[in-house]
Amino acid sequence: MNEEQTSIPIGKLMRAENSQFVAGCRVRELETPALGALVKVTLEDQSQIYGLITNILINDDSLVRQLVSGVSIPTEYTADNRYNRNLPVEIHVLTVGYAQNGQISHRLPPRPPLSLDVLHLCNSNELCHFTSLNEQAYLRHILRLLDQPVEELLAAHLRQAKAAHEDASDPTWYPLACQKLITLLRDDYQRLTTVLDVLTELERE
Amino acid sequence: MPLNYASVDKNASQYAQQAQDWLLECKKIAGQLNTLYDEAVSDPERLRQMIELVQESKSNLYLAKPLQEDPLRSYPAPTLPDNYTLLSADGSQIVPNRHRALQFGLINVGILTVSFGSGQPPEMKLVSELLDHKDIIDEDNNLASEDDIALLRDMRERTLIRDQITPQLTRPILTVTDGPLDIFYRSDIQDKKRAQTAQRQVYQLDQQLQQEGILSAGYIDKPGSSMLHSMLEIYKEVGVEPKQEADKRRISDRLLLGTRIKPGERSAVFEIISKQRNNPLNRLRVAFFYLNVSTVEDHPWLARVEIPYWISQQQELVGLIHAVLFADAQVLDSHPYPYSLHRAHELAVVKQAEYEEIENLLLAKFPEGSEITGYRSNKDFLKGLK
Repeated sequence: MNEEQTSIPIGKLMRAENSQFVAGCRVRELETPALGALVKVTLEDQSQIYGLITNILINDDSLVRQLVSGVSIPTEYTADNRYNRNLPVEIHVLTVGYAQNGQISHRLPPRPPLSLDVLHLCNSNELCHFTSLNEQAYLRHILRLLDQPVEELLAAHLRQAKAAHEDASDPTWYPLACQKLITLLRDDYQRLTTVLDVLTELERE
Repeated sequence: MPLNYASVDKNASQYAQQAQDWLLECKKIAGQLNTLYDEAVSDPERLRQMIELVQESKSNLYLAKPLQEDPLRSYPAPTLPDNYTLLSADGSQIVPNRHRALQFGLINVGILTVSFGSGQPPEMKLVSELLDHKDIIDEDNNLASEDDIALLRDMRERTLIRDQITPQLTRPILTVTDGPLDIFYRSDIQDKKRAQTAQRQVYQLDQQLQQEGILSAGYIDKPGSSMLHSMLEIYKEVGVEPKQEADKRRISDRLLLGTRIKPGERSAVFEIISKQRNNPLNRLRVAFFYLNVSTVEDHPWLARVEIPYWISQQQELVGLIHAVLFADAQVLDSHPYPYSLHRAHELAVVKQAEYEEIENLLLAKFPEGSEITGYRSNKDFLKGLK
């Protein structure tokens, strides 16, 4: 069984640019994607674009706004709005690398994925493989995010990656990732302090 | 410029004053009618006899006739059952337009089946039906009118909702459509026989539903009919009062009953006496009640709920329909209207972009240069310019 078969489809591309993209999925499909998870899109030429989920957005519309003000909503109607109505959940993804001809790079891809390309959740093997390459260079993409809770995203991602590497008997990955972050943030003391705070919390778990 | 606002504004104040004066006048007449209503319905048996007398002599009638319940009372809703099924259907249509390159008609019906007590999301069904060419152009080459297509849509709503009923559905089962329960004659229907046939079909459908014990109702939001006023006219006409010229201004039942029905409660059930020359003999007998879907004392909001006559003869079934529709309307509480009907409408509504897509899909089926497709009228083309 190849990796494509074991990774889980979680949505389809709505819009994209080189550095980020947005996929849509139905609420029923929302059980698998999580903040900080590594995802990928396979393009027509079989190259792959990797990203981290940075935000999951639940959309509304005028009917939902009307229902919110209601006194009580039957369970069946809550389910109707969640599962039947055409309101896609938006999954925002930060591009962190790509693979071409079997070679993974932590740079941005030459072109973005196309609309309706399928977004897959990477399995543990892929997560371990992608995150251990290039001295974890992909982490720099997370640190360039603006107007987002970068520390929370880091915590969510590192927690998942740390668990995957530990399960694969690689306890060295997490200290190396922390070292990488310290190096990347060495000139931004304030941010480094916040990130270290999050990492400390993560280690206490 | 879309409008000459200055010109509209010039007459706006005058218009507002006219509208307020009209409403005050209507309320004044409603006040007088209220006194007459109290008097007329205090002896419902006598009023029924008066109406039956007129039924025999007049060929055109559209009025209310009190049944066994006391018309002076407001009736509270009984407790809802824990489990029941609500099926709601609503349709929209594309009416053939001679200005377009191709004339075609389409009916789109949305049906929502809600199994209350199951916790499961409702089942949705959408039926999009391209009408046959013979349905849009008659033998005399007349293009079907808005009313002709609406008649077909109403029929499809009723047959499709019937088709959704399976033995697996939890009972009791209530089917609801938007608008009057009977398919009445629309003024512009070209084929009167078709309308009569439709009325007969509605009757037969109801007969089946009755045999299976399935309830049905038509929900009319903000109704404008004045069946009670017409009933009071008969009382005046046949009654002991000295003959007076009937007031031509019609007062809606909504205005007349507005303060009589408490929030969440309903009026007594009346029968609709609808008589026209071309009515088929086998026609659905319909009753109705007004339902105050508001929960606020000083802001009543009456909807008319039409039910088959056979249901009106069983008070617990009337109560069940009352309770189900009131609960469903409360889901959208600041604008109470049955949620399931709103969703059926949301499923069915055809937008302009979809109209154009279907038109393009059809045009693509014709050979290139086919004469039947023709061109859009110049008027329609220019209207489309942005």
